[in-house]
Amino acid sequence: MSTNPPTSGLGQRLYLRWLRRRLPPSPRQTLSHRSIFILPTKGGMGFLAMALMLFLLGTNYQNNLVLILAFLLLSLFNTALLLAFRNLAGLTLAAGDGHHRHAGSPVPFDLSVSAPRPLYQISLRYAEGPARRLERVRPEASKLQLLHPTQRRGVLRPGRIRIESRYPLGLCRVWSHLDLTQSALVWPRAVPGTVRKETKLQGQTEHSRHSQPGLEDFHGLARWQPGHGRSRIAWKQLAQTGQMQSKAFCSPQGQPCHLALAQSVPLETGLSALAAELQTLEAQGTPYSLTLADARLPMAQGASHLKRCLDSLARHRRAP
Amino acid sequence: MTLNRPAQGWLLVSQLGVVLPLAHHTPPWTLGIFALCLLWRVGIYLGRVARPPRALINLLGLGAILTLVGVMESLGTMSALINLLLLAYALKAIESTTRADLTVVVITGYFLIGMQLIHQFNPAIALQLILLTVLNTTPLLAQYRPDTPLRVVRQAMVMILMSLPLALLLFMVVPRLSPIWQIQSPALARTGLSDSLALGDLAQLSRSDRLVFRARFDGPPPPPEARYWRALVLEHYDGTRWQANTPPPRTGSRPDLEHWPSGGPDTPWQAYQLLVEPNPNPWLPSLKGSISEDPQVIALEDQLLNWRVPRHSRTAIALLWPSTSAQAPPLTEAARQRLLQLPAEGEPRARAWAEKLRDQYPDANARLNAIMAPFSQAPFRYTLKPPALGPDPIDGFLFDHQAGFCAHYASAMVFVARAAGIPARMVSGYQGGELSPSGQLLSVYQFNAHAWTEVYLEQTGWQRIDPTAAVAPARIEQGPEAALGEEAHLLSEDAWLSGRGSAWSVQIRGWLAQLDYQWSQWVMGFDEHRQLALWQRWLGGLSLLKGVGVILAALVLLALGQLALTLWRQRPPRVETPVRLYRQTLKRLERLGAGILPGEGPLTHLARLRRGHPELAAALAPLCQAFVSLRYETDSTDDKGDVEQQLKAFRHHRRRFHRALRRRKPAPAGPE
Repeated sequence: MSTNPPTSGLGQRLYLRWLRRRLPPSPRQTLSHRSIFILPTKGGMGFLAMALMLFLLGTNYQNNLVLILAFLLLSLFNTALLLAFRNLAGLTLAAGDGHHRHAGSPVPFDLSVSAPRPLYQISLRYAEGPARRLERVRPEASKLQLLHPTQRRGVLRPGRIRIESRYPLGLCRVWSHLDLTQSALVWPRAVPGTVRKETKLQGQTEHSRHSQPGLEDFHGLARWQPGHGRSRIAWKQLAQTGQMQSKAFCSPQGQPCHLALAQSVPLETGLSALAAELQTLEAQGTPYSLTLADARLPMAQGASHLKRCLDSLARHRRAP
Repeated sequence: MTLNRPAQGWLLVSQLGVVLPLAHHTPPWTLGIFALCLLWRVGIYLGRVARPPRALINLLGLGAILTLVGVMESLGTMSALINLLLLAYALKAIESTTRADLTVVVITGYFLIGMQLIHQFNPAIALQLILLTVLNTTPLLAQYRPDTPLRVVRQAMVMILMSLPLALLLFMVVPRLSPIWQIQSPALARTGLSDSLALGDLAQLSRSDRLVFRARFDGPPPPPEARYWRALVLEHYDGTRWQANTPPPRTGSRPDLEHWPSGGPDTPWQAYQLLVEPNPNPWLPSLKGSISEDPQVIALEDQLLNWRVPRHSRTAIALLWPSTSAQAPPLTEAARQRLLQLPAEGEPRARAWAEKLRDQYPDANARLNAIMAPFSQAPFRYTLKPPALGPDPIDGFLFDHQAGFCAHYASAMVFVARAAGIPARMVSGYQGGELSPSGQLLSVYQFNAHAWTEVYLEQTGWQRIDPTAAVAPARIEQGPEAALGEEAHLLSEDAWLSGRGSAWSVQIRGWLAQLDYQWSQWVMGFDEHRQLALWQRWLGGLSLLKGVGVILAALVLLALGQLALTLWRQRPPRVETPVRLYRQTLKRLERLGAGILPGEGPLTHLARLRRGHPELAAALAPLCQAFVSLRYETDSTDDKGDVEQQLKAFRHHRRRFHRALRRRKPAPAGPE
């Protein structure tokens, strides 16, 4: 299942198909005359209309200075077009990772941007999602993140990035649409609900309607070691003593449990419940395994295990 | 997207710049509202006051429009339009918060710059045009380019300079259209000649240095005593004022050479061209007997020329002038009566004197000489500050005070000549003019205004007599300031002009006149005829295909030029100075076999040298340290003076090291 930006209308589809041929997807692209489009803005049209009025004024008063001004402004418009083009030409975008997130929260995509000379006022955005405005792009590569909203779980292909600028005078808009072949997995929304949960020791299946409260009994402090999560750093102590210590929790190392999809609820609801359960177990420090129709994840614990489990939830396909 | 602070600041500056040149076109209340808006904007900029509520702005706008409608009649449409735009410009600027608002304000600003130019023609205005365009472009650029104010304005300048070539090309190739709608003649300041003349009238003109026209002669210009530019003939005298008669057009709308009084195919015609400043009056000052084939000009009786429509812009006109004097047809009886007309009474002493001369000299020529004779002797003198003359002005002038200027002398002359039975008339116009250094261009200013007389003699026809020439010959030969002597400062209140007589200022004025003339010819006067002539000269004729071809070629050339410019500016940035210098030093070391190895940094290089070439390393060490600290321990956030200081130290160490190298050089050749 993938969540591509919706294509609306025939014109839009034709445009995208044309773009695909003209600007084929690639993870690293440099803008050039092939990929830069340019059109006057509303202000630019006003500017041209004003130049035309000056031309008429000069013609009517037979005043060559006014005509020169009209021509100078027309020529200035042309210069603005050139500089606007130059302001995107040479801009290089390289795709970075897409971060995985639960459906509903925006996915950040990493990007690296560089240019042969300083460029000004460039805004980047996906067809959906907020614009990221760069006041100035410096020659050295800089990293940034671009957000894309999510609605459903699955593979998210954010589609083309819209790179736009109105530099230098706002009279024209130069833009490009680049597909950097980025993608990210969108996990199911975490909504507590019914899951199939089997505790290993007791060997019996337990259906829980809600996730259990965390048993985060504070036990004491231990030396911080690389690998301890940031959430475990004892910030207060760090501030007081300057020593990195981590909070040790004494959760009753709960019984390791097997998780699977509950059959009694709709698929997406079940997946959401599993996502919530996974997060809860991970927070408790309880080891867990996950069994899905097309994936089996062994009993384990930790951030990367959680990510693998959530990823397989995101990829889960309805049985044919 | 909201306006940034630099854009707001620049907008303030540019608005002030755009409006100042228009200030004299606008009534004070418009300027008042504008100043108020500007002050408010300064307040907003400094964070002292809030943006005015929308309702207030609407109210102000409405009030301004209503007031404008009220005074529209007195202002004229064009001025009203300028005022309206100015108010919109000011009010819109106050409530500007977004980029779109800024764009609207700036576009209005460009249009206002255009408005300033409508009645302007001199070359300095072109400079003003370019400066203001740069200034007006800056706020927009500042909005889109986060940079220091100086860099922003420099970039705006670069943009305008980049735009100039295409603008000039367009100027040359875009066809000129004829006016699309009829324009009302704008209210020009009416300084200049008037169609009636009292005795003291031309004195105030002498204080004006406004240019009236320039004349360019194909051959040598006429000698000073022939430079009488006739504008008006004044025949009717009512005791105080001379009134111009409006002569009927000459029969046949286009004068042809045969029918012109000075006609005859063998008249030596001399071609000259006048470049006339805008003037609301129809009369066109010209040398006596001039004709023009230009349809803009109509020829009148009395050998005068008039514009068909008064010119509101500088206009060039080609004329022909017969350098031999004309043979006029005999006077009709009606004309003779008109030319002998005098007020029924008054001036008893002048009349008595005329009677006496009439009896004494039966020959008209001798009689004229007798009238002129006293003018060239004391106590007659030339002055711009004549005393009050009383109820009989001519008597007062001739017999009591004997002081006056051209209008006095000419009035008295015509009066006495008529009273003595000689048909005479007063002519007003300009006399003289400043010759440019090249000797071809004659500039005539308002202070050259003059009045003289023409008398009709049976034997010779019309003859010009200038009594002022008798009392102040210098006035005719060298100009008014020469005739005035100590009074010369009266010619103008202007300090610049009071130096009018000095040689260098005349010289400078001459060059300026030349520049102004060329400018008018090639820029202001570049009309469809000149455009066509240019095509003709460059391409040998005009055809659609050629025209399109040339335009395309020119555009391609221009595009290539601009591309080259952009590519040139795209060049990789120059290697930083310290790096470049250090590399050069390393090259020298290489020749000594102590070069840097690939992948080696300056410090590792130095460490290696310490082992192999200790004395070289010792010499290099300070330079190397300076380089490393300059290159790796500074960044753009550092104080500029600091970096400057370090660079200086670096150069110093480098020089010392090079000196050490040179001293060392002979060593390898030494004993081995």
